[in-house]
Amino acid sequence: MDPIAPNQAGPALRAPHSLRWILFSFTLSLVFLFFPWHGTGLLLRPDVTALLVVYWGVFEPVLVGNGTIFVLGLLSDTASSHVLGVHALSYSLLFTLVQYYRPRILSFYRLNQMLHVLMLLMVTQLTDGVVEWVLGYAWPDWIWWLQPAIGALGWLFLPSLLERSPRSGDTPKSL
Amino acid sequence: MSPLETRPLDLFSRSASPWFRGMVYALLALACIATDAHFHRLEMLRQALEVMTVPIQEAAEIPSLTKQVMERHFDSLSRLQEENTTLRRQLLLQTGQAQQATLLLRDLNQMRGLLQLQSSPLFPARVSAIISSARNPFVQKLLLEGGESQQIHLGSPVLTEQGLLGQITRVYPLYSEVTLVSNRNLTIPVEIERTALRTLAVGSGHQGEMTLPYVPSGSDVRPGDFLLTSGIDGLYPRGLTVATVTQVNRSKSSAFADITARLNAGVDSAPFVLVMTPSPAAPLMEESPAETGSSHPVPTHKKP
Repeated sequence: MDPIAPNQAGPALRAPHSLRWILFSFTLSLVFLFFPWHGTGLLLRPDVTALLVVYWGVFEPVLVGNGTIFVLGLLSDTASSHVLGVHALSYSLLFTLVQYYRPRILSFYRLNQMLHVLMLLMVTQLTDGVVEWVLGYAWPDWIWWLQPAIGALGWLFLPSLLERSPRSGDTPKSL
Repeated sequence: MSPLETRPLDLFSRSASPWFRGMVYALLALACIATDAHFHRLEMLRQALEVMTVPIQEAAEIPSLTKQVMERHFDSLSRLQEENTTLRRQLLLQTGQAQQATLLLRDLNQMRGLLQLQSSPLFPARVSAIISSARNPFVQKLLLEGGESQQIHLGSPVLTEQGLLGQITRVYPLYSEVTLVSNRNLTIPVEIERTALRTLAVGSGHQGEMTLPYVPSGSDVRPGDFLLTSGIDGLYPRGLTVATVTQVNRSKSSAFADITARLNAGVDSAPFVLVMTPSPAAPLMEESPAETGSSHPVPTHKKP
């Protein structure tokens, strides 16, 4: 099925992550989104939710489905108190692309994976931008386009962080 | 991580392809966008999602609350005393002005009574704290403390001490949303202070900026002119400071001048804003409905 990746051969044989943990990580990313951002911080705020969509789409494609991603998009639209469905659309598109590129992404080392993630986040950003433009809103400042780059940098440490997150087969050691 | 661990082995049934599923959800999202942006029919869903995200919002407020508590803890006494003195001085000055204003208002009302003119309504106001700016760089919006339960009404003008900031466009149970004057969807009837020329100011979509698209290129407008609300729509009281003209470009090819203005009220300057309540019953409406015309209607009462 998937090409055996040099750095993924080990983890691929492990038990899947627990669904509860995946949902919790999405909730944390929404908390990040709900911080009182403004000004330049708002323009540069990396889209952690999209990054998580990429990560879980690549590493847990069976547990995370289109429905979850859609609801996640709606919730993040609520955070921006704007038209409902903008992020739902871009995340659905992102998730589809992730599923398509999954074998390819898995076959690379992390730095090369980062370039794929950058491309995917850029497509998400572009979708958002185009939808807003069609709805009649002005483009934000140019530094808004640095968002995907900052998000892609997160790929350098996010996988090693989430790899260690709880898996469904794990039993607490204290028991 | 093979799918076999989480799904029973099923050789012949096949789920839809990722592309097909993606397409279905993308269409659903597009339908959402169209329904919300065009027909404004998703308010129920929005309220439900808002309620779902309340715990998340509260968790997100923890850092800023902690920061506030820390600041309060370490704020130096001398700085507070200094601020107190300045505020007292300001209060004294403003009390004097307010007393004069009361006298002037009384005189004005008497004169109006003599001349049988309508008295312009006074708008009651309440102070509200800014929670945050909307977390979206595309829209110029703010979130305010206080919502339906605090009698904040849709359409109320919102001010800071420097001038008009925006208008309440959505009211949730506990907080409300202000669309800033610089938002593209907001149009305000203004007059130029120096020449009393009445026109419309439209948000430019960029932070702190608006444009005057309907000023004939021959008219007398200069950079530095103040824009005040003209009160023609009856929504904003007359005479609130809105913006200062920064740029006037006249081209021979266009009948209208290209004018940009800088807003006076900044979002970052004030932690509190003033929410005015458009008077629910304009007293003279019943007496002379024919005369009132566009001078008093309030948006909440426009609908029969």
